[in-house]
Amino acid sequence: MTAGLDEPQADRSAFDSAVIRTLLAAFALAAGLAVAWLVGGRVIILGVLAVLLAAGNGYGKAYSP
Amino acid sequence: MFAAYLVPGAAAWAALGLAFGVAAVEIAWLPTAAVVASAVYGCAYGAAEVGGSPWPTAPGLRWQVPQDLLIGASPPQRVLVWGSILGPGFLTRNPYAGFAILPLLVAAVGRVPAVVVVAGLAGVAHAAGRAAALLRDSARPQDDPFALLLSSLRWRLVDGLALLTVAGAAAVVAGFRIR
Repeated sequence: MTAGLDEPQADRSAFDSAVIRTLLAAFALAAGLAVAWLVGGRVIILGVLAVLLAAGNGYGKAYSP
Repeated sequence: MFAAYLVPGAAAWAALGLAFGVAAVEIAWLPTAAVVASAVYGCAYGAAEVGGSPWPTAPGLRWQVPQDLLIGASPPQRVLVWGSILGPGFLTRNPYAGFAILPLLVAAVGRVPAVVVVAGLAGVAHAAGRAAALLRDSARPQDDPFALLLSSLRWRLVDGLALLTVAGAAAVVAGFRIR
């Protein structure tokens, strides 16, 4: 038993989690490719992403144990 | 309180941006190398964070603000110390790999004054996020350690997805530059 799940349920849950994470990763990568392509590969898109990433990182850092 | 975080954050990052901009004048390939490095770093660390792998750990320092700096300090002095160190974010431990890609993205911008503006905005954004999180935490009871750990794992997933988005964008920018 793992967290109230029997072994097959735990295996399925882990598989579902892995599938969802893989799909999310593929979507994130594709979104980056698409956005940069849409702006013609201009480097300023990396500047914009840097600012957004910095804001999220500063906020999320408070959750580190 | 926001100013105590934002001003050091903007100043430190703008100085870094200026250094990259000056270096890019002498080293013409530096911005392109930074774009390629961003794509590689974003893919590697993004995949690791999204996959939940404990390795590789996020690069960076393990230092924390020492209590000695705060003992005996008045509340405004404490805010100044916290703001000066935590606002820019270079010196203290950061568990998310998304922070270390920021200097690469800034270096990728290349030219002064654009690189200084982007770096300054990144510094302001990081400091504002940090200060906002601090205000959020001070306005509610502290999470128990297990809830904090779960939140940290969720943020690691979000950080990994953000890194992969940046990696995808950097790969396209690199393709346009190199072709």
